[in-house]
Amino acid sequence: MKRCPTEFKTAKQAREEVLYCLLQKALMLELSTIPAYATACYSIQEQGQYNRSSPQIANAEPIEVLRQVMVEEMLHMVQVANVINAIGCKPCVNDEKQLPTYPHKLFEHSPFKLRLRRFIPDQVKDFREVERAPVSLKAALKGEYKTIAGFYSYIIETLQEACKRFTADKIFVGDLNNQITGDDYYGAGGKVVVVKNLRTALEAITEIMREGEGAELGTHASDGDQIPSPAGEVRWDVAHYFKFDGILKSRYYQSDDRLEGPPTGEDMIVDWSVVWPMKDDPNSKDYANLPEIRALSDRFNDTYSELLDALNDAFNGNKHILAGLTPVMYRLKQDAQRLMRVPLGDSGSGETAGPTWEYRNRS
Amino acid sequence: MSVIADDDHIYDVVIVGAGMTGGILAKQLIKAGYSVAILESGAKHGEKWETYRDYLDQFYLSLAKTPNSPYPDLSTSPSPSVLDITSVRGTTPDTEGYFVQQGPMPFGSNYLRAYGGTTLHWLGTSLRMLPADFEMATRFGRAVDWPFKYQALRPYYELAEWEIGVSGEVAEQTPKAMGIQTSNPKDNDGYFAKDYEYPMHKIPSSYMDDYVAERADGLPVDMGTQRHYHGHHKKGSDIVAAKVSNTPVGRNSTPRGLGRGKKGFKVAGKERAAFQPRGATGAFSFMGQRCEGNSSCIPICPIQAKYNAMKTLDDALTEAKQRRIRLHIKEQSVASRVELDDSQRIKGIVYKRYDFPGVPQYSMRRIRGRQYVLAAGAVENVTLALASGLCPSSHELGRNLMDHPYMMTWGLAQDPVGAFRGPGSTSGIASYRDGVFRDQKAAFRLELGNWGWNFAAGSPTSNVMQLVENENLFGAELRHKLYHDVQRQIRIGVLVEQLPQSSNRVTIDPSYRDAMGEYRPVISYDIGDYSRAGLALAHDACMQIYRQAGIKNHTRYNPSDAGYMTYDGKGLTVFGAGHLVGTHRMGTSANKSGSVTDENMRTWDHSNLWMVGCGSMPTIATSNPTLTMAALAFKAGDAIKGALK
Repeated sequence: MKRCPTEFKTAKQAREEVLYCLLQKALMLELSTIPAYATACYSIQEQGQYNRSSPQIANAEPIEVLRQVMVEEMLHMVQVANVINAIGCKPCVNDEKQLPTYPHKLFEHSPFKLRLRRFIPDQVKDFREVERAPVSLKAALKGEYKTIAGFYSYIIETLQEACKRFTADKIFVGDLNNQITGDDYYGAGGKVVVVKNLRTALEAITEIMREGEGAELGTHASDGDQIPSPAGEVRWDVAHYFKFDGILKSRYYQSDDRLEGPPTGEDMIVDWSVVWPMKDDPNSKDYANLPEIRALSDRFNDTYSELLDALNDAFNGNKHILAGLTPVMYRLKQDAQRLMRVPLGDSGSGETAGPTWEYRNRS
Repeated sequence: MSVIADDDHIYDVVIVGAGMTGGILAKQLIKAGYSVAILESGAKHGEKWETYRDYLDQFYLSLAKTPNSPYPDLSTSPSPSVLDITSVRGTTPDTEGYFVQQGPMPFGSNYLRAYGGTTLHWLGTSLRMLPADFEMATRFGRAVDWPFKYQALRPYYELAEWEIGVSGEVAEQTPKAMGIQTSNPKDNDGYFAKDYEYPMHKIPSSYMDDYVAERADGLPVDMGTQRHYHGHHKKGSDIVAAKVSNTPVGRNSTPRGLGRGKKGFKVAGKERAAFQPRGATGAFSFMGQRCEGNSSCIPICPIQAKYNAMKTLDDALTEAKQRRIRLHIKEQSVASRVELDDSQRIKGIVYKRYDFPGVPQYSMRRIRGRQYVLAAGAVENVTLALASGLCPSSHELGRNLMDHPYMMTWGLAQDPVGAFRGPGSTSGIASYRDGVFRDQKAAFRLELGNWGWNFAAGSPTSNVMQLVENENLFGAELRHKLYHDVQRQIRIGVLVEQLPQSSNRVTIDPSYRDAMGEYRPVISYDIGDYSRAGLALAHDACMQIYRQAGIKNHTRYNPSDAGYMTYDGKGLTVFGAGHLVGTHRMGTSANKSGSVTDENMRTWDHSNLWMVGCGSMPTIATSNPTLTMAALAFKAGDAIKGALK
């Protein structure tokens, strides 16, 4: 992964070369988690688990937990796009060269690669790693970030530095009309912050950090988001790290639980067995000699590309497009599960195909 | 002789029924500092996230996805089912279902006796009534006027819309914007308060809505010769242009933001912060999800994007906990008799508490309060009141039962319209909801359905059967043909108004009781010529729309249908809309003998008894009654607070 320049002499340079590069990376970072989370979520067999004597949907609870994380990642993408627009640059989510390929290294210094795997404990452990808070921010602030919080801390520092040198007015020069507001987007993941100055930019970024790792560098399970509930009642959401850890421990975290302690909420029923046996790290090369699967895979990737193209449009002024994307996301899920139901070749392993999340230029 | 044990506490208010009315009343009363008990005959199943999943599982497993299919039908708290509706023959009542149907028409509607009430399976339609609907007698010489006018209910509509969380756009919901030629042109003035906004943006209209609008908007429909009225209209033919309009609904969409420089939203005269969609009920709640088109609003929204009364009850419980005020929701407790003292005031309600859902083994208890509210729906309120000998003076209790006779027409469009996607309905044609023609025939609303011929002809399953068995198709050919046909299906539902009629009534008979020994509702019901004329006109309007839009008509009514009837030599079939209205109507003090309660829903005969709900409505008009019921609950709540002071 190319490193971003660190030096800037003018405000324009700070915006267009340094900050834009960092924030664009942040946008890709948020995007890169979604295929991995979604693949695991979609690999859970939702249907066909009925047994008339005890009818129930297997794994309804982990599906819901994963869904909650995903809608917040989507919100994070919107937030980062708002920050990019605020500094007068163009968010981009459909550039083949920048889009993640899997297994994907989140950062130059990160210790592991994020893979596309079905819903198995090892994969959820990886998810937990993605959202783990750094022990210290020291290295990160020097530019050697390997965690999400470290990376964003570095961005915050760079933003503050640039504002200090050139004044915030010279940095936040973007068109307010491009800002996605709560009226343009509601995905039940939290409140969209409209970014117009340093304060709101920091608000948007710290929100992302908290929702991922928890408050105070991940020592608290709470992410500081109050769940809408009647006046006065305090009901807080839990950060992603703790949500994933809860799945592994089959128990919900409560908002006042802490990192060192066990979760103290109710039981979460997790059944690791009712999952499509999807091949690890599917790649379109696997389907080279399997034209029927290839067609399904292309179909999935077309839908994925359609979604990215539309998002790109929405982030660059055509905000109204967002409202119509719900059906596309549903189609993505259907296309992914269609692949997961098809056995791969005659190896006898019983493995099935899976979505590859590759951008296809359809123009 | 068995001794009835009294409950320990005397509550400020005792409410019968944990549905939307009971929930709104409880929430308001708790906020004002009053203790409340609610008796709920059903079991408390769905209030936890996990148990709500059980409802979903039950729904997925049901072969007939009827409105009550996800919910348990307990012998201890039976609910009517649409599957029990058959033709009533001769003078023998049909006793198959929970209702005892005396005919001549079967009463086709149902409701749900469970925690959360019928809002568990409602569609979410949240239309306000029109000013003319409150003045049927004055304007058209039909039925009765309400004891107050539209403007008196307007602030309560605002409270109701913000309680439910209605998605809609004010600019599209005025009578004028809906294409209605109101019987009084002034009806448009102040229909919404200045600067009022719905809490959420509208749910986008479906592709099919736009498809029909593009082809049929502006289509002139002759409503028949009109008489001179108020000098506002000329004599002659009354032509109304069809107009498709988005329907406001109680489903989450995008909450409305304050926008630049705006400090708050004005709701019933008070400033409020932006609306926050509420999530699923219970401990597992997350932020309220937006409607994403799961296509099963009726009978159950899998993500609880649709409002249900459990959300309001949840609010009330939390509020009570915070303020340390007593709120007891006693589920599995069937109110059996309301007891009177010598001064005709209520002194207690005897209820049967059963321990195991479905096992009619119970203990008798008595609950006492200062004020009592019956909020168990238009039918259950009446059976309980009649069983207890309440409100005898007007002889109106149980009479004037109304519904929206619901007729469907269906056809095939020339192009795919994307049927079976999205919420049940996102738009309708409201142009015929009012007009000077109402002195002769019923007004109606056309509801555009998004689920093809689902309700009308059992599609898509019936299409598969037809193609396999009659056309011998299979494999790819079957898939293509099925997709081709099903994607073109269009269905329009007609909701026609019905006038109050004293012979349409709910009563009780000692020979018909349920497993708990409680009276089953005995119903006599017919549909008068006023509604039949409206239905016939609505049918014509649908056919004109189909012709104009190039939609091939496939509507078939079968004389063996339970709801088959004729008008002017033509046959058609109606169903119930689930809108049970009118059995304990409000009236003015000048007309005590024609009504059961005053305008605040306090009974004329018993000063500490209130009957609140759809049964309070003197006329049904053309809007689905839930929103109006919620507004009435807020109105009654204010009055009950006044009575407690």
